[in-house]
Amino acid sequence: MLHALVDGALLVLTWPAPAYLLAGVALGLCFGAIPGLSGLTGMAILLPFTFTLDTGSAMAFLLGMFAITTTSDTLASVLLGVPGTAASQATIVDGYPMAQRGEAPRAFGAAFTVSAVGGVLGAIALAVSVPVVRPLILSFAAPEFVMLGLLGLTMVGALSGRSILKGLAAACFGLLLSMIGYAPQGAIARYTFDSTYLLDGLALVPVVLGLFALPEVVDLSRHGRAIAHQDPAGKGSGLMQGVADAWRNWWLVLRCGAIGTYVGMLPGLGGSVVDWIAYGHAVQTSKDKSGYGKGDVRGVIAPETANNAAKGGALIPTLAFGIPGSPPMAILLGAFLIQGLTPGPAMLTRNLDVTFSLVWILVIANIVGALVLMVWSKQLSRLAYVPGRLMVPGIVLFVFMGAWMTGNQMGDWYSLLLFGVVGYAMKRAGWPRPALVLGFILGPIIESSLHLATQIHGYAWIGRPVCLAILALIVFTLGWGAWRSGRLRRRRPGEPARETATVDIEDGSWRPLSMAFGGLVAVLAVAAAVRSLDWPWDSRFFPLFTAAPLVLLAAAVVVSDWRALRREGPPAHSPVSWADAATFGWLLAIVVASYLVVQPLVLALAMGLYLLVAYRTRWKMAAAQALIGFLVLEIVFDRLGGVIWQPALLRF
Amino acid sequence: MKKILATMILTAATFAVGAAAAEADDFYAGKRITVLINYSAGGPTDIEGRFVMQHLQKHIPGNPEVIVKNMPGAGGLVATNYLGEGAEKDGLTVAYFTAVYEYQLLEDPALRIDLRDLGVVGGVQGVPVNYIRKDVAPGMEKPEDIVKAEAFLAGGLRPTISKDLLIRMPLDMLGVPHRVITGFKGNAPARQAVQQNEIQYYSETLPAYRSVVAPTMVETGMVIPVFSHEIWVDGKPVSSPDVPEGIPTFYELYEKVKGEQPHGQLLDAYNVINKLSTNMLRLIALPPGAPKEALDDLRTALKELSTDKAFAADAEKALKFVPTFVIGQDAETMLKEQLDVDEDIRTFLKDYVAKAQ
Repeated sequence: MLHALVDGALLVLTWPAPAYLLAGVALGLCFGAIPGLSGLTGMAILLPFTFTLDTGSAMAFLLGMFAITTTSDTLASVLLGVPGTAASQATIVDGYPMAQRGEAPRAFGAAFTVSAVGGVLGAIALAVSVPVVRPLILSFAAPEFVMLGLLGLTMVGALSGRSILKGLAAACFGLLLSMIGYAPQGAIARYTFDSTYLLDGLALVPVVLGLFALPEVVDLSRHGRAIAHQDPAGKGSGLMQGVADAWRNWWLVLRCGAIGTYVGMLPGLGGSVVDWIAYGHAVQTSKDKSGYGKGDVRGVIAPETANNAAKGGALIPTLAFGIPGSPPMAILLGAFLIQGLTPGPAMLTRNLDVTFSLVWILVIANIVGALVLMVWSKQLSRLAYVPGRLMVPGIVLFVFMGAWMTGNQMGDWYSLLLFGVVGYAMKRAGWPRPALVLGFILGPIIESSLHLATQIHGYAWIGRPVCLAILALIVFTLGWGAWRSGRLRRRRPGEPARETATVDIEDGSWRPLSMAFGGLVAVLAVAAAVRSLDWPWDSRFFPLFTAAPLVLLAAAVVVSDWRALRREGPPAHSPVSWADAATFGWLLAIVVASYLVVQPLVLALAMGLYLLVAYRTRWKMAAAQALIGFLVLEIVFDRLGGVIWQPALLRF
Repeated sequence: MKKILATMILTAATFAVGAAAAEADDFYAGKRITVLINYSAGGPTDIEGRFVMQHLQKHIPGNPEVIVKNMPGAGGLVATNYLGEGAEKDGLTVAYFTAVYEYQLLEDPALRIDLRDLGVVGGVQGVPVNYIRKDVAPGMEKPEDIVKAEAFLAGGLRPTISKDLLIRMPLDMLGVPHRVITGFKGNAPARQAVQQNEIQYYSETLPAYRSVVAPTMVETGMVIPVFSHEIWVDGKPVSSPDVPEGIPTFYELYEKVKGEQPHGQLLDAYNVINKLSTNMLRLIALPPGAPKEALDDLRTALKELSTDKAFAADAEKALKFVPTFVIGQDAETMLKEQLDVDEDIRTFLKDYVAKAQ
């Protein structure tokens, strides 16, 4: 074993492997930092270059790149409120408010530190789990995934903020939205309205970008101030403060590292849910929850540890069984095969040195990448002080491209805009968006696993030992949550608060809008339930059993808001303005114009026009930004990213 | 002096024009081909497509630049519809698709184009190998044992796709007691389910079989191969030369255990699906109405590629198999013949698919 460890290190340290490792890390930093590009894009682009490399170099190049994308994706999540990759969505919830308070360097210090630690933890897990991995993975089949999905749903409480009712309704709404597309056995296409785009269901990235990034764009455009416009919450706000935060929360880091590794290890759960689970875990286990959603550094630490740790975990089933748990892992598996390495037991015996070389690559890449970002982050943090309206065109460019790169279809942009409006309404109305995303991600996992589990085992699967163990965990989580909130309620007024249960996930709570949104959701749920009645039982089961409680929950929200409204009287002023509508109109115009003229041109012109109109800049400045935007689109996305543009009606 | 210089410039110019003229004869000279792949980057279609097109480029007269773009979605349908409806017809967009014949055979409205309208450059063989767990009672030691199997679960992805049909049809013809559990999210999860003994029977194409299934499951004594699907050469069903020794074709296995050739309407339907999906699992094609010169050049290039020794050696190393092509007119004929299916067979297929739902 020790021998293999040393041999593995030699494989990575033999020239030219170190050069490829550094090149990989440098590319990975870019792929992670640019929203729309991700580790997957990177893998696909780099794979052909490894055909002619030696094993050590090929692995160092690919894995070095991949390891680090979840470190640099924090930049966009914190600074712009746009997830750099799907694995750092949860980072936005607290990371962006930190940037608004001028604490971006602190968020970076914490995030990069724990990313490195998380990555190393994942690598260590890969190394030590080698002998015990078989039963660990093979004992998780469809039935266990149903239970894991349900366990994940118990996070809703932690992601709900002040109103558990709205949280539950949002989560149910997310579940219902995830039912769009082919039913799990694949015969019936649900809620697709004959659109090919919807056959696969709504894509996650446009939905998340719409929910989180577009409302921030609208706000930036409305008030025009720099992203960092609130007063710092006191104490240190610099990089080193963040590093100190990371060490002070060492226990949370360790737990989230473990969560990341295990979620990564189970094929099919994937990178887009690991950050939410870690975030939910951090909130659930914190005594003082009052800072979450307003820029609590722990809300950055948890997801950023987990998403790096997940990568080491994800390598385990790929190497040991040839079961890639995610698309990037499938590419890596392809790279193995091209190198003449076959996955399976040999990776743990004859080729153990190669396996350990991967451990080393993960360790080195994570540490080097984090250090580089630490050095750079000071300059990058200044972006938070650039006037808001100067930032908007650039952010919109990346948001639109992030959505477009998902499937190269107009459907991605419609989805982005639609969920932009939904996210805007939810933000203003105090409906927790993270709960919706959680339901949306977990829905298909639960439904398809439930379908397979009952097809294979009938209902006997519930009695499987691992299922029972997870069930116990679910009961414990729910019971503990209920007990804690009960204890809080019993506390007499005037008694000093020892713990606070309220989490400020959303800042708005404009009741008329909340009631309207609740009403709309209830109507949609009824329509969805009625539509489902024509379908066979296995396609109908899940939509029906999601829609029914959703109607009740949404109605309950409406009633409780109505009562509160009568008690409080009408709100002083509306948080909705014509300026917001104008911003949405501008975004819609970009989409519509893209049918006529080729997209890079539309986006670049839209950037320039925005600066002229909203920022009142001189035309030369606007033209310069438009040109830069056009070059980014042509070079980064067209040339490097291999994007397919919408066929325009007017061709030159 | 001036005269000499002028002559030199003139000569150089003549050469340049001449060279340009020679190159301009080639349709693809100085152009850029975009290869469209209908599955995501890193999948089997993508890896194979990138590899084949990289080598094909060297045989295309004019040596165009080749770049690859992925357009995944709806089981390959998104890109297929795009090829027929949105793609430029200038011959510069070339599709390397996992073909969706079954949607046309079953008249699924989600497929909005007629595959017969495409400019078919060629097809690439993809032979699936079916495998079963050895511990299925009363114990599976050799392919023929499958008819003794007491009961087992076979995996599938979606009841309407050819993968599922090619798994179900032979098992039904052999008359072995089984149930098909469909709805797995891909080959990897289904393979995992076999390893977990959640299902016992599945099927994967040769590249995946040889590089992943064989080392992780066959050599470790967990599963045995049962049969491979046959390819059709000169109107006869034969085994692909890439299939490892000792694995019979479905026809061979059927004859061995039943003492007669397979026959009947189910076989006719099976043959339609298999001839398309196995002989031409991948389709290399131009959008409808692309220039004839482009099609001719690509067909010639593919023909040359099929005998290119260096390509074969590289493919063996990188893909673990050498792609076998159905080229040009042959591919077009096969596509049209099989898609012009008898209404009887089409009705039978639709019923058969509906039974699984």
